[in-house]
Amino acid sequence: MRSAEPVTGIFAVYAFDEMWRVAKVVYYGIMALNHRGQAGCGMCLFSGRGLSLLESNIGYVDVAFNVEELVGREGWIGLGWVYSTVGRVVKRVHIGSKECICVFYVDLPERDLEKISKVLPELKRDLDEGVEKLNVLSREIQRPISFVLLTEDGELYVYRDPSGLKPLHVGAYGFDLGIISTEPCAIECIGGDPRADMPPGSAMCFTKYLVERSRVQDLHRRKYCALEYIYYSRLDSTIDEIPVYDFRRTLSQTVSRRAPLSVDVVIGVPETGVVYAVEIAKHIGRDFSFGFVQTGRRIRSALVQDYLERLIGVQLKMSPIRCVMQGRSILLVDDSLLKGITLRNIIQYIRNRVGVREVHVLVASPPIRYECPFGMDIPPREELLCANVSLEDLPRVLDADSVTFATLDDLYEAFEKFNVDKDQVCTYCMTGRLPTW
Amino acid sequence: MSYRILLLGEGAREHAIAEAISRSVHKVKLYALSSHVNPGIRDCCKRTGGELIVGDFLNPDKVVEVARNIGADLVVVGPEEPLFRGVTNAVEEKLGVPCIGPRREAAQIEQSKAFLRELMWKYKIPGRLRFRTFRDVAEALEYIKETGESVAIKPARQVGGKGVKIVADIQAYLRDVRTEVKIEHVKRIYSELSRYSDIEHRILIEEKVEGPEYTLQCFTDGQNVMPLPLVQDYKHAFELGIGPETGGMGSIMDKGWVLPFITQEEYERSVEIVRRIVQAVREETGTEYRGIIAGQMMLTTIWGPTVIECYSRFGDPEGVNVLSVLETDIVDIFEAVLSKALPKIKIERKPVAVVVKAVAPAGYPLNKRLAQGHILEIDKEKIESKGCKLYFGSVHEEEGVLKTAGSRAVEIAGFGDNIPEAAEKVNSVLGCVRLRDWKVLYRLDIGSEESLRKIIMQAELIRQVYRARLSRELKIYDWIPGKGLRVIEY
Ligand SMILES: Nc1ncnc2c1ncn2[C@@H]1O[C@H](COP(=O)(O)OP(=O)(O)OP(=O)(O)O)[C@@H](O)[C@H]1O
Repeated sequence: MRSAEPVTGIFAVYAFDEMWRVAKVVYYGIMALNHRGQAGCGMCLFSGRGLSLLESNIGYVDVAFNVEELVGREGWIGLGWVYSTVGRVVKRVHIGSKECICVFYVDLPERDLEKISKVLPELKRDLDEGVEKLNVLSREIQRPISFVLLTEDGELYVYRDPSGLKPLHVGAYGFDLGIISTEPCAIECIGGDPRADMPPGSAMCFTKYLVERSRVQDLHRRKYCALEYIYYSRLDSTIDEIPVYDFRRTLSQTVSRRAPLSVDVVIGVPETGVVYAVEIAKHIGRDFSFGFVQTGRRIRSALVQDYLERLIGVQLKMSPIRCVMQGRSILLVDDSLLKGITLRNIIQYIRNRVGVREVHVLVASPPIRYECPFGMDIPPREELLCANVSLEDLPRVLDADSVTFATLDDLYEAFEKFNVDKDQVCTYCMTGRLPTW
Repeated sequence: MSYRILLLGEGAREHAIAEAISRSVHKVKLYALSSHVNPGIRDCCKRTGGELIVGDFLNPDKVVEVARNIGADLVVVGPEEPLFRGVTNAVEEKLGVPCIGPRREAAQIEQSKAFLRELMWKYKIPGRLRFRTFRDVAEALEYIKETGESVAIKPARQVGGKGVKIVADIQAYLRDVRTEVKIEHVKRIYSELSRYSDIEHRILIEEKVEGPEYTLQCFTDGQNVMPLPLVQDYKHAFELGIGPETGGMGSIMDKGWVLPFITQEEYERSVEIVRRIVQAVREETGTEYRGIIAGQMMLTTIWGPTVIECYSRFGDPEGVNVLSVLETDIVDIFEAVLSKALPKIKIERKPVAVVVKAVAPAGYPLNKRLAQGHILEIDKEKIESKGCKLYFGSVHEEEGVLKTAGSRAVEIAGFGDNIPEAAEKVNSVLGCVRLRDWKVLYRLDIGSEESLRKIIMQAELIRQVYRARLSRELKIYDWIPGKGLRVIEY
């Protein structure tokens, strides 16, 4: 049993001028992170009189909260989050006698949580000493223990662990707001300016009259989460100095060497596959085309739990555009293959109902076979297609003429273009190899 | 020639002025009138055989009295407030003693942001922004409610470098939140300004612009403008450009005359703007502007060099950058200002980059009361051993003990072959300034290679846009369906 679920997106605002009511700012901030998790969301506000907690188990921020009602809410400091696995996510910890609301990117057992709690008073007293201790702890716990914490007396602490596996960005809005966000896209969404990535192994502390950055950093153990770049982050974000769109373009280039050349047209499987399809088509000299139209709202079906709900999601987003496919040989490009239900459904549908000559599949990531121990939302192992079906059987299962994956080397090559060494890339979900702490 | 000079003020900027004066080859006796004892200024005075006198330098009668008592030949005004109160007018009229620092009429360029904006529009000086001024609060609120634009809301009168709110308001979905902030701020300014009776308008709302800022400080004799090297000031209280507006937490100056992100052409255009402002002041007020004038500029997509505001004195900390490496005798410059002979002066400075950083007590800038009265411990030797210079700011000495007075306590200047090198020097000694049982505030990020790289990139983007725009026309076409086409002229 997990003690509490991790959050997948964090957004915090600290107003230096108490006239601000930030609830609605937080609302749009977490909405811009909604792609990271749709199982629920929440926020916590500070208005000088303790913390008020608003939580919802509705995953869509715009459905979960009534904006009209939020506008009037008091509070000049706000911490918001989204998550992707149903359950409780908020942790209550104490610094001395003060209660705090804290969110983590990973699910931590009680005993680890206790160890972290013990360091908090130190962090408050001396940021650098606190960070040193946390950095040591993170090596002991061997998980990315980054967190954002809001105290009942209105102090905001942000810690990014030395692995840097989980992004955290710092931004500002004029002279008024300091902002923390998992991805910079949310900072821009609320009209702020992204300023810098939090260095791994460092902390920040926002108090009424002082914003401190720890002088301590730990840059030698930093890791890059492959999936973060392959499909998780938003295209308009730049994570740790790597523009996400650029990364995907580069990866497309390396992967395109494997594309079957017998195809006439390249189609991205909605919607994160489109970037790859565009680039791959360019590299192999084939047409790119849109292939599907979606009905209803955007759902990232890989993250939906229930099978039937998932199927509904898939079907609603895959109404095919017949004229681009009929009688042709098509290359479907997907960013990743998890359960494979989307792809399987799409292929069967277009084979049987549209009438295509051939369907080939190119996946921009290597096969994913392991659950992520670090909070990235990947279905349990028994549901992962590549963990249960041999590569040889895959085309039959998917009903495709061929299925090709990016190789680990393709992936490393793409990272190398951004000066990331292959030892720094965490590929546990693909290889089962844990990164060194 | 021998001089008795009276310097008004008490901050780090005045310490740097005092030091420059004390370096003069002229025979100078330096006196200072300050409201508390800044040990740096006091020591400079002593070295020249003069002294620091404690008194209210904002009061023209007091200044006249002190200047008379010491037999001053020249009064140098450090900060802006005495200028607004007409200290120059009083000293010149009552004693016939000249001042470095403009008369009240001319100092309006800083005192009243509305005056400056109107002047720039009237004389069609480039680098101007669209603005509105308001006498009463209801009018301003109505305007805010109906427009919803990205604006800077400012007190129309200078109130000591605070009270500016910059509200980016592009996202329609957050308009209500921002409108509320704008409204609250307007009300706040309005009530704060009710204690000043020397201005007509209270609130100024102008378009918000974006871009790298820089300060162009110049000496002027009313006819000629003698530009100094560009300096960039960092306003945000906290690192990474976060947090409330301060008087400036640090400033950078390169070893040449421009900054790494400003071209020679942009520099020259900025000088031309300041020159035209000085000329317009003369035509408008009939007074010759004598002293220091500084354009606080921003490189914007509208104009390139654009005026954010004007100072009627050296910037603080920007003044320290220049004064700490000025090789031309400052008293020669003063003489030239007074005799309208500025073109005869050549400004020489040490060819090094200078980075100045302030150390302030926690509490600054939002709660100066909290920031007051803390005991300072400074390792001056270590600071000097790294080749850095220490300037005392908002501190006062009581029976040998240094205490904070609420604002930036000290400024430290570091020198190097380039800006990051100079910044590193300062960073290495910032820890030498400590407060007993209280936290200090300073910014390590100012002048770092990383931050410079970002500014250069931003400037490059802006340059592309403004150049394209200036080559077309200076108009903005604003189309709101149903309301027709609105052509905004500059
Ligand atoms: N129109 C504007 N658009 C964007 N930012 C602005 C604008 N006007 C002012 N600012 C920002 O606000 C800061 C302070 O503005 P301004 O210099 O007018 O105010 P001040 O309180 O008089 O400051 P100072 O301490 O420099 O005297 C500027 O340095 C700039 O960063």
